[in-house]
Amino acid sequence: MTDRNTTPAIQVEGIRMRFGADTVIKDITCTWEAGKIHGIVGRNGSGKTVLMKCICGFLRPTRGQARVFGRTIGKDVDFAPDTGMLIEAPGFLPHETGMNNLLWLARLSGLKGRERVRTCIEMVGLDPNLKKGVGKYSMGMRRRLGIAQALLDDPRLLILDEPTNGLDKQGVRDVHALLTCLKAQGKTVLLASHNPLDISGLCDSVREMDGGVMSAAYKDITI
Amino acid sequence: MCDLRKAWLCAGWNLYTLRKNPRFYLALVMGCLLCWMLTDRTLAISRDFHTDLQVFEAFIWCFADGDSILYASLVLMLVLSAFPRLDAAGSYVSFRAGRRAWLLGQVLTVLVITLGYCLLLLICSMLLGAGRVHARNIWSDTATLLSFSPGGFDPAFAVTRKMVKLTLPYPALAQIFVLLFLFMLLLSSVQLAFTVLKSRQTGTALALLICLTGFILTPERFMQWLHLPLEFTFYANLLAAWLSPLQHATYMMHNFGYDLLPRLSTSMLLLGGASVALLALSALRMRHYNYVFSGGIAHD
Repeated sequence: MTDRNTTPAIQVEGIRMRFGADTVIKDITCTWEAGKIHGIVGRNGSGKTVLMKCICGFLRPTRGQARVFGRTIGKDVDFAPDTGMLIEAPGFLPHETGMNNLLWLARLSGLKGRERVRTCIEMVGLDPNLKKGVGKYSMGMRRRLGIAQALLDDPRLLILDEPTNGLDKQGVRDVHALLTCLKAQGKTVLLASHNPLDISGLCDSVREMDGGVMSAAYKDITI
Repeated sequence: MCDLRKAWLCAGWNLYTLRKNPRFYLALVMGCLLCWMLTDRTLAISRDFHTDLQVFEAFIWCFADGDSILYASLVLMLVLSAFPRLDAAGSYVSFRAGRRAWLLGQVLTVLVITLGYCLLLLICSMLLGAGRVHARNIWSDTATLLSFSPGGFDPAFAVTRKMVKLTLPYPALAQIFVLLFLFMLLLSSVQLAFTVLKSRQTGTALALLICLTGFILTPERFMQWLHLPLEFTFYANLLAAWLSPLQHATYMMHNFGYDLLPRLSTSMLLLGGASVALLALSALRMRHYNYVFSGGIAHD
């Protein structure tokens, strides 16, 4: 039994990830507290996405382990529990509407009815009645829909990789407002961006990744 | 129970994505065309001699032959090469379903598609013979013609004499249908297992390699390679029947009680067992599988 209040949202212990001869992540150990917004910044190819995939359970690290809410990924659970994620971009079915795409995912999560899907689509500023296929959405709209799918299960943890990529200024403001609102509800958010300015104002703690190595938190209001 | 529900949902999602997949429709059309071309020889005899047909005979005479099974399987590969879906869309589905349910969903998808395709071939062959068919469990005059006339000496029809003497249309249909289904299932399992174990290219290449062995491991080739005289055809048949997966799926290459060829039940067990083993292997590998996806729009 784990205590929901004291257990960190994410614990990463000595994670190393190799693809062939390439070591993409080099023995990263860190902890992210629950109920806050945490940021990871770093250049393209610094290993942010791979680390997030390890935390989510898409990739099994070569060494080390990740724990989400006290449960070890790959041992206790296949994928991070109680987590919504947006990594890379969800490959939505291009001929289907946003509503239909999310309805399938909602069914898999055991959600009944269309109401939750409708609410999530509205939360990100999209029209749930939009009839055009996702293939005709702009990049920003697809990003918003990706965030909506992450919110579907009302998860305690959100893992978002470049959530504002492709969004206009208003879109970025909307996402920031949404994340602040989620934090106020006690949710934990782990954000990655290649642009420090993009997330530094929003995050309680920010760490930097470079060449597969993670720095200590350089902005941490808990210190 | 929850896993099974999720697995069916994954399979449902996979099948749903086929709705807009041109390869799926191409395979359907090609399957029907192939059926028409392959059954035409039987139907032509029925037309020319004005003889009736048992409703399943067109299918039986067509798919008792290894070449027909091979061509039909190659068409099926057009659809099955899209599975398992390991792109971003598939990965997001897997995230919600869990690895075990997701893999089970892929297996269900393959089973449903393979079974559906076999049924399509059966229905198609039934429709092509419509007008001069009966549904009774007895062989037709066309079957008698094929078995005991000079037409019956055509190697492709040699099987008919065995069949007409030893069995009836319904059990023959069941056996041929199961052999066809199991061979296609073996190809699908190879494709699925090696996609998970290695890569999609490896999966497809190995499935095609099995098809290729069907072309290569024939009695004629063994005769050629081993320089066997005609009176040793029996040994070439034995080698091909035991070594080639396609020959295991070919009705006429079996032991009906008087030679050393594999029995139908042995072949079914081998084909089915190999498929189960491959699927079990993928289940083991799936626990440690690394999803490598880069996002974007899915190709459905």
